Amino acid sequence: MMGKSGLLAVMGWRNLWRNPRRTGLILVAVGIGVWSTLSFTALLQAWSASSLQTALIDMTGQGQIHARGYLDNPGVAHRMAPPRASLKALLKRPEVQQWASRVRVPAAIQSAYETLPVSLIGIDPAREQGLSFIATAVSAGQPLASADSPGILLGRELARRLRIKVGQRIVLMSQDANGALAERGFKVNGLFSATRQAEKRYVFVGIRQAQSMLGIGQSITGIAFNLHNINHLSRFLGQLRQVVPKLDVQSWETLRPVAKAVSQLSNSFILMWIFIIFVLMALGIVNTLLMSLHERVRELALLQALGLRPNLIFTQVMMESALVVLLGVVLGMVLAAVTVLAFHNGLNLGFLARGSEWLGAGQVLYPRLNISQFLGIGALIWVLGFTASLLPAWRIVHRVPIEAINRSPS
Amino acid sequence: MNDNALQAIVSCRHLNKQYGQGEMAVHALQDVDLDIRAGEFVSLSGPSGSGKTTLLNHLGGLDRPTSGEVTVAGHRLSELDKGELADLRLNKIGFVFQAFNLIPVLSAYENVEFILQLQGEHARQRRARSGEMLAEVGLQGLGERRPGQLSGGQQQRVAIARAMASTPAIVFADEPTANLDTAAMDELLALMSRLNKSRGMTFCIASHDPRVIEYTLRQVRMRDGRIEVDERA
Amino acid sequence: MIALAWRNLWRRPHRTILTLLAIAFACLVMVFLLSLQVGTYASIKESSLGLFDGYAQIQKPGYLRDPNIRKSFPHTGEMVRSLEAITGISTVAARAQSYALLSKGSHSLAAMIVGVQPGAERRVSRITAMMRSGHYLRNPKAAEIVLGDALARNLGVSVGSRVTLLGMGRDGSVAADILNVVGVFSSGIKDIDRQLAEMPLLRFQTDFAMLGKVNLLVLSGDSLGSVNGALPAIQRLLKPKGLVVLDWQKLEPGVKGMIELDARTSLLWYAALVIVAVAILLNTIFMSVLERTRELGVLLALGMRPAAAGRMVWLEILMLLAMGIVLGMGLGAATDSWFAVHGLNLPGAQGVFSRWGISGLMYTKLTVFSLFTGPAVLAVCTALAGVFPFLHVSRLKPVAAMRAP
Repeated sequence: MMGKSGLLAVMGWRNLWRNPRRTGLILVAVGIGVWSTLSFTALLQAWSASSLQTALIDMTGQGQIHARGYLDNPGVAHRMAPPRASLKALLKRPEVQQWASRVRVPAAIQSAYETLPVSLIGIDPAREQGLSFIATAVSAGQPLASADSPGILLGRELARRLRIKVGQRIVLMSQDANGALAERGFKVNGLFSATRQAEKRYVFVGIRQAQSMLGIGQSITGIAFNLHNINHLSRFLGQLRQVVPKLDVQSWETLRPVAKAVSQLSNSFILMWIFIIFVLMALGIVNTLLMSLHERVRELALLQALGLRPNLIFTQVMMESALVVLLGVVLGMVLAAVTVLAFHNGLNLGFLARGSEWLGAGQVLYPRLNISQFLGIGALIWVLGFTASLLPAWRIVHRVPIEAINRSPS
Repeated sequence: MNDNALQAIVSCRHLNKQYGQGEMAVHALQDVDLDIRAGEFVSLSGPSGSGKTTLLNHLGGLDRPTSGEVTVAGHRLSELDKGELADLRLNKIGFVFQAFNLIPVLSAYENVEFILQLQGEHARQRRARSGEMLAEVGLQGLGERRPGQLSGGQQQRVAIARAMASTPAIVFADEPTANLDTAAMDELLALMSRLNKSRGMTFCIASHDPRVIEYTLRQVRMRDGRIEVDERA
Repeated sequence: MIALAWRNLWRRPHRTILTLLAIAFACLVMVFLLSLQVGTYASIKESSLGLFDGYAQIQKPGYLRDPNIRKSFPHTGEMVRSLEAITGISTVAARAQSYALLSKGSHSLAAMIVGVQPGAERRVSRITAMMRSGHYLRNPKAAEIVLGDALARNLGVSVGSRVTLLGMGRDGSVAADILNVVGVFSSGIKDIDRQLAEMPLLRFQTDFAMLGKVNLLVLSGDSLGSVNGALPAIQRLLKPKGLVVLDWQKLEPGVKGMIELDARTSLLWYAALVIVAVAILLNTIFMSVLERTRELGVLLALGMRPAAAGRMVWLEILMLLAMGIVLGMGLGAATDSWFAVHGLNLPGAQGVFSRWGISGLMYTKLTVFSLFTGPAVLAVCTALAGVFPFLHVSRLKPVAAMRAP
């Protein structure tokens, strides 16, 4: 039995190369189809990942803890106590990558030239490393040294609007714990670059400065955190909710629904594309198969005369089809792998960055080679491809006209 | 059933083949009875359209009659399904056609081995046997060549080697010499004759060429789907 | 010659039909996707512009980059009339705006205060129809204000409350007022709902010491296209006055960028489609030629010129292509008209688009561009690829051809 299949496979392989041009063209069709699908997938996933990453480091983190009512009405009225022992213990677990307390309230910033609304964010700079963008975004002047640091960080765009430079002073105004208007002057320590939105809206001060300005003592307005493995998030959130049932615990999915939607939309497009490419490829494969079979009618009749059972003749024909599709798929996978690896250091969207930002993704995309996904999609297309040949092959093989064998060359 | 029928390896009774319906009907075979015994060297001759190829196809199990019965090596073909017919052709019947006898992508060795592989023989024995067969038909040393690299006569000889390799009960040949030049034709016929005498291989050859007919020991002439003459040389 | 080419095509109906279907499908997909893109882009543009920005704006040069209440210009009836007289412009709405503090009791928040003409504003901004409670501004002279819902919530005000306005006037004086909240709107866009408040223009101008002056004029028309068409005329009108008109690309560069991004990446997919379709077509033609080699040899022997034989094959390609394209375009147009009415609902689209106030349903829009571009590209690529079979046939030698198996 094994011998027979081997023989049929050998025949199938050699038959492919009787007509190199035809085989070549179908390889191009399948190869390009697979290449486009895999590259498309990698690109869209890089997109999703970038979108997610951008959302997370935009002061969101994978999860946040607030007092109830804060998210609807962010202000000192809805502040929370600093984390107690039980919460701290949970946050200190090895699965948590970073966590940080923050004080974030709406405020107004004033320079000699202009007054603008901003979001005042009091941070502990050391804790923001890896959690949000601010740790690495300072492009002029100095970052904040510590939670006590008396300076303020502004976005470049905001600084431009205010006509303010590093070293100059601005005034921050916000509502304090007693409901009165709190005012304090800050020296601009440095400027940061980030998304346009972030630059226009966020100003950063040391958390203890924020607390003293707003008169809230040790209170904070929220905690943000990242886990090492985002897949463990829902479990961790459950544990959090048990430890602090009175607080509002949310994941990035509720805080940033757009990032999730981007991922869903990407998947929709991928599926749509696979369908399109499959139909086109199937048409091409069936067409090639029919042509090739028509050419070899005599040979098929000969095989039958020699005593090859119809099922085996069918198997032989299917093997050829499976082989050529497999070759095309492998070719496509190799091309796609090369394409993805070529952009391993990042695909810089450059002048397209504005649009990318509008959609919530970063400027640089990092397509990744997901081997199991490659193989999965490749296998799927392979199976679909030669499934398309099943019906026509069956019909033809079972209707090989006997006379073909005696026909004189036409 | 007379004695002759019992010893026949291939026989048909009241064989009819009709194409088309009513007025447009073509009667390719009309009430044909024939017996072929082991060791015979038979020719089927007649003008084109006489039905010789059609009869050959039926005797070889390649086609089914409108009515009538064909028996090969004790099996009634009407009782066999497609798969069993294929097995019968594999094991009991050999074919040599006018052209396109060989699988183009396989070498001469592999073409001969093809049958043996289907029959389930092991690789080493297959190779040995196929070498033997090719030598028998005078093609030793040419085993690795593909049909495209062999002359017409050589291709036909490979076909014969293949037909022999499966040790069939009978070999049917349909115009085997039609595409060959005179010298190759003679060679081929001499080969078949030798195999018939030395190994007792049964041949049934359909041809309109008088020279072919001369070689054979029994001549069956057909006209309009019927057997006209059946005489021994 | 044409008759011969036609009959040659139908020698093997299965093959011809399959190839036809492949071409038609590729065209259908391109027409559909292009129309989807065109439709979605149009939808996004109109939605995001129609919300608040308007289709075009007239400002003082430099205001866009650096909005400041001091960059204002006179608002004259004569200018408004001449603008409205231009074909394509139907409404001219004036605004003056500045950041200021709104307070209620002990709550204070900075917000962007925009002075508007209630009547005209209704025709340029959808926000006026998004009132969650109360009603939009009616009286051009009243002490009224409408706020975004998040702003209202954070301030702790609702319809009927009074808020205090405190800001800096155009001349540096203090701008102060007490206004009644007559309505709260909800646009769905966080930034707008958290920061925007609108009050009647006349009152704003009084408070902020800029009577007779405005910061910008918002233009609207029947469609974005009609307004775009009017831009040159507007520019001529504005030149002597030292003002500039900003088109949608400057008003919403993010949208422009996104459209560019999408358009460029989709080029790749279309290219892949075209390549696959051309490969299939070439396969068919080559097969058809190869199996007719002997016959072609006979034709050549009988005196047909090789180039003519090549042209005959090329003609077959074109006919196959033409049929496929027509079929594909027809199917594409039909699919488009269905989706133009019902919209395409892809999972995730709702979530992504809702952020900019656009529904998740993607509508197709059939235009000359979307209908013809894809098939045209396919046709050109195929015609070029057809060079190969043409060359092959032109180079056939009669005797060798007739001997082919």
